[in-house]
Amino acid sequence: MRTKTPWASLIVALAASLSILAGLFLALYGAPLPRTTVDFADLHATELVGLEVRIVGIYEATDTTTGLLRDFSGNPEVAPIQVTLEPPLALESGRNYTLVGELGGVRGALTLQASEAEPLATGTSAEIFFSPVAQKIFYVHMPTAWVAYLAFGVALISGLAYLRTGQPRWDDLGAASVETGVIFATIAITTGPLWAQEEWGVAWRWDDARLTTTFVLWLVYLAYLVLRANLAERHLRARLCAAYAILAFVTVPLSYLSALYLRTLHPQLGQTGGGLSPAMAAPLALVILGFTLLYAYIVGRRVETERLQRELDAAAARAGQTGGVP
Amino acid sequence: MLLVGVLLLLAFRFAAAGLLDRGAIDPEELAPAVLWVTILFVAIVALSSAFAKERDRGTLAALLLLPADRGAVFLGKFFGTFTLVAFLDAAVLLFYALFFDYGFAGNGLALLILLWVGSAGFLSAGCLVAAVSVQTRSRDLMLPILLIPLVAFTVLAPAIGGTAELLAGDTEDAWEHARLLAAFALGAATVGTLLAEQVLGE
Repeated sequence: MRTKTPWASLIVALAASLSILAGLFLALYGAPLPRTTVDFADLHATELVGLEVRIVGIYEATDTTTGLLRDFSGNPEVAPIQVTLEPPLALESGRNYTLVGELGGVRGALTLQASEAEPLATGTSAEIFFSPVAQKIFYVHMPTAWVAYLAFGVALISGLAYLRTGQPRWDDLGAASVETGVIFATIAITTGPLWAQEEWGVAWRWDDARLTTTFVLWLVYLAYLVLRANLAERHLRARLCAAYAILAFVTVPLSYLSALYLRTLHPQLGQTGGGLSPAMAAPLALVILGFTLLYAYIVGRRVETERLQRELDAAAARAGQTGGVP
Repeated sequence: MLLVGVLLLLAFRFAAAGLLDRGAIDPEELAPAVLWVTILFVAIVALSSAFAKERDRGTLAALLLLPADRGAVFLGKFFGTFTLVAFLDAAVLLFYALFFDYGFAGNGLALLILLWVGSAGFLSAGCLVAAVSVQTRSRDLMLPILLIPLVAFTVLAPAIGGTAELLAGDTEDAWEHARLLAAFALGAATVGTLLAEQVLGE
């Protein structure tokens, strides 16, 4: 059996490292994020209803306005707080509030932070992140979460492909992808609460759809790894793991649905591009690219190792030995 | 299996004794969580023995010799286990009423139906998982490890929510949750039927 120098994967590894380092460098030392101030008078009151805003700047109100601001960070269960918007505003800087009533006639600079960028599509852009620390965490959190989703998607596809074709390389790919995905998911799920503590004021929210779904994914694929470890026979293992991966994936959208009964705080996927400030886009793209390449590298090496192991097992079996090579 | 349920309820009763005595919590607030955690474990024990016994006695192999679709065998296992668990649900309800001295605010029958819908959710995913776990080395340990992540948010959470709403008299929202549970049961049973061929194996 011949092993060639894995030039291709070495290049991938190098590209991954460079990309991640460049992205993180830009994130740390790049230009500071522009702070967008939104004049409430520019916006129609109805556009703000239901939008999550974060009051972070200095604000002043000229007219007396009443509106309902629901405390969103501390205890979401408390009844909406009736706030009279007159100077001085009884709002705490650095906390999240949801506007549920109508606000009008407010003038002055309110720095808005929206978790959903979409309702602000009125020519006014809002920055999503303010806290400088939390924003740095995001450069690791979001790319690792993306890679984890990608990895589990690949696991589903290779599970289906294995059940259709019965080719062991699909099983190798699925296993390698889940192993790598669990590592990335672990990073995402640990950096997430760190970010949330700073940004939302709470580390974890059980009623957030994205959080719970990611948590379920993480648990399910940990269980997948336990299942793999408990099955010795290659074909049986491949078959059952593929089936479990498929069943597991079915529960994911349903977990999401059941958690969606309660709102999500996350920026919705697909909208993030529009909502992210351009200063964040470049480093973020680099880090995402880097982590994706890193994933490809790890999975590629892992699949190759599995293939060699199988060949070795086959050779050992041909040589009349029993059992595999440890 | 019934013994497991009774013992679990007893454990919960002891755990909550202080709270109940102080009046810090009433049986109505306790019921959703206690009932569903008990039923989850009762269902796991029922599933575990349903497959393990068949495998040990070789009757599973006999079933697979049937000139029938594997999906039919899977559905048969599902309905068999469901019938058993349906009785156990009723028993769990009775013992809860007994241990916690609570009459379910006259909603006993509606609650039982909700328990059945939720149990169907546990079992539809559970039958496939049990068919997988029974073939592993430490099978009795594997079943909960594989099953609980799948049902935690899809069955357990809406079931507990629905039960709480039902007991609070909010029937409409309770059925909303029941519909979600039924949808999951149906979805998981479909996937199970389709995958039965691969999982039940040779």
